[in-house]
Parts: sequence; C-alpha cells; structure tokens
Amino acid sequence: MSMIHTEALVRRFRGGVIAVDGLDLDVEEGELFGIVGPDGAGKTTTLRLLAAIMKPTGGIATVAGYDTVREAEAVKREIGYMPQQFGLYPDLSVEENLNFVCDIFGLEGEERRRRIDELLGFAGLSEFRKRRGGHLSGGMQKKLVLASALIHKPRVLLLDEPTTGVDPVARRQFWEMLSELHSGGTTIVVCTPYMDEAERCNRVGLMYEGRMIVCDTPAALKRMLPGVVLAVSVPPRAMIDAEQALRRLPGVLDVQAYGDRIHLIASGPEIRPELEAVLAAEGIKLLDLRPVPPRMEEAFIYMIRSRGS
Amino acid sequence: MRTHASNIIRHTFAIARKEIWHIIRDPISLFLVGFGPVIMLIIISYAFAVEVRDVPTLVLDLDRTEASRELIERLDATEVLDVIGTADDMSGVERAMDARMARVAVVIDRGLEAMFPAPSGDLLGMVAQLAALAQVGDRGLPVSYIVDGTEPISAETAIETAIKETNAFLVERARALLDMLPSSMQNLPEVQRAREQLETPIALEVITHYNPEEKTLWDLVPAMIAIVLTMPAMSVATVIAKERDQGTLEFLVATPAARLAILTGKMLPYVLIGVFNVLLMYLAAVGVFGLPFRGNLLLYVALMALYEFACLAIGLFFSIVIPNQEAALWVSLMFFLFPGFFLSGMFFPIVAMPLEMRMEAMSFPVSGGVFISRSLFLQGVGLDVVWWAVGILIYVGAIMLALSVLFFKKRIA
Ligand SMILES: Nc1ncnc2c1ncn2[C@@H]1O[C@H](COP(=O)(O)OP(=O)(O)O)[C@@H](O)[C@H]1O
Ligand SMILES: [Mg+2]
Repeated sequence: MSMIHTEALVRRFRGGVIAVDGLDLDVEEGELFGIVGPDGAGKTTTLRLLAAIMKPTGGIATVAGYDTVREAEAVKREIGYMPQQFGLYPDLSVEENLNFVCDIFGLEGEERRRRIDELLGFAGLSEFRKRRGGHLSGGMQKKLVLASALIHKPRVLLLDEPTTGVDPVARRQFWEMLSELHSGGTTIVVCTPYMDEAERCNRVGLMYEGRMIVCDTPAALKRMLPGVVLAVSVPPRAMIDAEQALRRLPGVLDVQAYGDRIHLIASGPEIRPELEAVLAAEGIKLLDLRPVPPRMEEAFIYMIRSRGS
Repeated sequence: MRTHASNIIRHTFAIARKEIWHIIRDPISLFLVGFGPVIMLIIISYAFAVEVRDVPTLVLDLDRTEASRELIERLDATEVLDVIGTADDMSGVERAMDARMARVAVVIDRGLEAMFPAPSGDLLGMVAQLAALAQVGDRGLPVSYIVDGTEPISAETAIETAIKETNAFLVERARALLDMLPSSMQNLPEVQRAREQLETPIALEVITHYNPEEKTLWDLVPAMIAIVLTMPAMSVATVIAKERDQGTLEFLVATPAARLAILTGKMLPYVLIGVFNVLLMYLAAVGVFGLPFRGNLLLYVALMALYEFACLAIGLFFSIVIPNQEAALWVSLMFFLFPGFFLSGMFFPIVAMPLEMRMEAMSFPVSGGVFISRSLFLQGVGLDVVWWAVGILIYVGAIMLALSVLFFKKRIA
C-alpha cells in the first residue's frame, strides 16, 4: 500500500479553472518525491488536496491509508504540512509558535522541552528562540514552519515551495534537513520551481496545466530527452542575434541563454554544419560548440514544448 | 489514547493561550479591549447626563388666585423649568406645544386656592382640612402637566421637577397656614398630627419606583454597561478573517485542532476580558457615577459573562461567514451598536413599543443584556425576574455557536 495514493483526482474551481486534472499518483513510504512545474500548474492545489484542507471535485486521495475527505482529521494527524506562504504567527516568538503547536498535539513537560530543543537545533534556530516570527528572515521562517510541522513526528511531509525566496546558503541547509528526514524514513512530497532541487528527489513529477505529464527518476527523465544539448559560445555582443538565428534553425527544440553560452536542444549532433552556416550568414563568430549532458530543466522544457506543439 | 472530549478541551486551551498572546502582543488592541468599554461608558454617560435646564414651560391658569400665582412663581424659580408665558385656553396650549415653543405645559384648574381653608372662626376645621392635604393624591389635585416626550430624558426631568415643586408648594403653604394659628393652639394634638402628616411628601402618584432620586443617569449607566460590552464581540468578528488574511489559517486547518475548539478557544479570552470589563465598569458606575448596586455582584458578573458569550458567538459567526476583516467589523458595528442604542430601551422605553417589536427587541441580545444589567443593578432583583432574558441569551449564544461550528470548515476555499 502506497503512503500516498490518488486516483483520477480532480479539483475544479468556480469560474471553470481545473487546477488538478485527473491526477493518478502513488508515493511509496520513505520516498522523497518532487513536484515541479511552472506557476499555475496546480502544485499547490495538489498539496492542499493531499493535506485534506481542500475537497477534490472528483477522484480520491488517500494519505497514510486515510481518505482525505472522509477521514480528513486522521490524515492531519499523520502529516506535516508547510504552506507556500509563511503559515505561522508573525506576532508570536519562535518559541511561542512551537509551544502552540505542542499545545495542539498535546506534548507536555519534559517531552515538549526536549522536542523543542531538538527541533530548534535541527533548524539552526536555537539563538532565535525569542525572536518574533515576523522578524525572521525568509529562510528562518521556512525553517521555523518546517520545525513546527515536525513537532508530532509525522510520517508524511507535504512541503510547498519550501525554499522559494530563500538565499542559497539557507536553501542548502534546508535540503540538508530534508535529507536527514528522508534518511530517517519520512515520506516527503516537495513542490519546487528549482530544477537542481528536483535532481535530489527519488522521483520527480512534472505538472503542467493540472496534469502530471511525466513522473520518473531524475536520470530516467533526462534520458527522455530525444536529442542532444549543445553549448554554443559566441562573442558577448552577438548573443542576442545568435539566439534569434538559432531559434529559426530547423530541428532545434529549444534555445536558452546562460551567461556567455547558449544551450540548444537539437534533434541530434548532425545539426552542426547547418548551425555553423546560419551563424556565418549572420556574421557571428562561433567560438566554441560542444555537447553537454542534459539538465533536468532542459528535459522539462522539451517535454512541455513538445506537448504544446 | 485520549478521548475526543479531552482533545477538544486541550485544543480549546491551546487556541485560547495563543489568542491571549496575540492580544498582549498588540498594545493598541490590548488597550482597546481591556479599557475601551469602561472609557466608552464614562464618556457616553457624561455626554448623555447633560443637565436639563430652562425647559420652556407654558402655563394655563384657570384658578387665577394667589395660590396659583405662587405655584407658577415657584415653577419658574427652578433651574429646570422656565415659564415663558401663559395661555388663555387649552387650544392655545396645544398650538404652543405643536409649534414646539413650549415643551411642558402646566394647567391649573379652578380649585387650587379652594384646597386651602379660607380664614374662618372654625380653626380646628381649618387644621383638619390642612391635614387632609397630605392625602390628596394626584386625582384630587387640580393641577395637570403636559409634556413633549420626543426627548425622553429632558421630558422626564422636567415632569419630575414640576411634580416635586408642586408637592413642595402644597406642603409649605399648608405648614405656613398652620404656623399662623395662634400660639395657644400650636400644642394641640390635632395641629401636631397635621404637621407630622405634612412631613412626608404628598402622595402624588407619578413617582419612579427603583430610582427614587430620579436620576436618569442611573438608568443610563447600567444600560451602557451592556451596550459597550459588545465591543469585544466586534474584535472577535475579525479573528477568523485575520488568520485567513495573514495566511495562518492554512497551517491551522492542516493540524488536527478540533473545529469547536478553534472557535471556543478564540472566544474564551474575550469572555475573560468581558468579565474584567464588567468589574471595571461596576467600579466606575459605583465610584464615578455614585450608583448604588442593589443586586448580587456574583450573579451580575456571571450573567454579564453569559451575555458577553452570546454577543461573542454572534461576532464569531460574522467572522466566519464574512471573509474580509473590514467588512466583518462594519457588519458587527451596524449589528450591535446602532440597533443596540435604539432597541435596548435607552432612548425609547421598551414598554412603549408595540408587542411584536418588543419581542423582537428582547430576542436581540443587547436588549436582554440591558434588561438584566438594569434589573440587577438598580432593582436588586435576581433570577426569578430576569430568567426569561437569561433563557434568550443562552438560546442565542448556543444557536450562534452551533451555526458557527456548522459554517466553519477546516478547509480553505
Ligand atoms: N482558490 C482558488 N480559486 C480559484 N482558482 C484557484 C484557486 N487556487 C488556485 N487556483 C487556480 O488554479 C491553478 C493552479 O494553481 P496552483 O495550484 O496554485 O498552482 P501552482 O502552485 O503550481 O502555482 C491556477 O490557475 C490558479 O489560478
Ligand atoms: Mg504554488
């Protein structure tokens, strides 16, 4: 039995938007599962449906064996949910926020003290006990919410963009925390817009317009990219012109500028002569051209593009 | 494994504790909920307790005697009444009242002078007639008053002053006549008895029962206590919308906190604040305004806490069905304060309303609160008199809490 199981899960909003459109998903116990997708893809809605705080308009979902509609409160005892926005009280201190959650879960006395100390240490917030939630940095707020969501040692963690708006150092620390929880056996579903984060998951699902268009391990997803990724270097002044020219090239699936290089997804390496010809016709000097291993991002862009066409 | 009931209690205290933190953290809201009601009470009571002075008074003197002239002079000499002129007949009185030139009219019929004994040889007969004045009552008195009731507070003061002055006039004139008897008669038992009888005020019937000092402020203050106790309910009306706006509701509803507990937990601190306010206002009423407290203080606080609970339950319901803080605040303001002032019998006595409106007014919790507050404060009565208002409050509170639980979903959108 999967830890999370959905069948034809649908959420339609008034006004006709279908935020989740027939989702079939199974997440196994102990898995670290990533959901990626552009804004508005339905990631948040999916997590809310799993957290039993939103009713589906179709299909079913079970979390830790409980139905999210009929046994919503049982689901809530098993999960730790981290909303996309800061969900704790800005006027309460770090310690008070944690105490409140302990109050809810009935953690008392020595057990409570130990748990709070442990989580503050885990989240690196020990020196900020007295600081108000609203006065924490974005990264510390995220860690505080995670710590709060962990008070009752949930079997399932549902994290909605836990590192969005967080500096790179805090992001890394946050992922170290997730790795630790993952090795402790917690099932984690994490929504993220960052592809490098997706790479760290056991499996990743790509959501697009309410559907999960692919779902596999990062390595398998990258292998799905049919062509090759070529890194093209041109003089800095010619970057924009080069990008335009490459876009017009037949057999090019996507073009993306990264600093002084242009990555293009092409159907195969045989595109090379045409590419050189196009750049030469524009009077652009080709400095370097070499195949590079595909990134997650490129795999997803390809998949979304190929769906659109 | 804990039972469900103990979960609800634990969650209630968890939410209540958090709510207290919120209130303490925000000094302005702490001050407003903690001291706003007593400050409002003092300000409004002072504002309404304006001194009534120089109410324009018209006289229709059909007796045209020394006695009637003396009475008119006495009325004019009071601070409250100002005799602006005399009318020739009743239609003149009505015209002046309709034109609002006069707010009070005093009609002295023929027979005022005749109430006092004419000088004669029958001195003992005179004494007997004077003694009888003490029992005259308002039916036997050829003086009547007409008052414009559109401003009840000044009307009441004016009429009370006129009656008191008429009383004093009758008593003093009778005693002056007794004093004029020859000194040989002063020690007669009949004369002494007549003096004693005239000692107590003449039993004119329009006398306020539970407010013998005739202070309208005394009616006002207990009513205001009930009305300003709706202020915490207005704060509660914003609590759910506030959690929704700041995004904390999403975290809260994803925890196993029980629905009922979230709602009662949010109310509990405000009930305690209400009790604190009641005690503070009780002290202000007694200390600042000199009201006597005639009831049982413990019962008073308990019933006011119940009343606060009913108001909070309504505020909470608004907070659940109105998704926006500002709108929730306005709706509760319009619901509690405006009809509160009018229906609570502060300006228009509830007994003067038609029956259906009376029922409606009484099922409006503020009216019940005003009724209970006045009854316990001034009349010193207990549950045997106010039980039905208590019943209405329990009913309203329970229904509104039940509706709140029904409408409050542990879901977003
Ligand atoms: N409460 C809501 N009411 C109406 N539409 C909504 C609501 N929540 C989300 N949507 C719509 O559903 C779609 C998916 O939103 P969301 O799940 O927030 O996507 P993501 O988290 O991937 O950015 C969007 O088009 C969004 O506008
Ligand atoms: Mg989102």
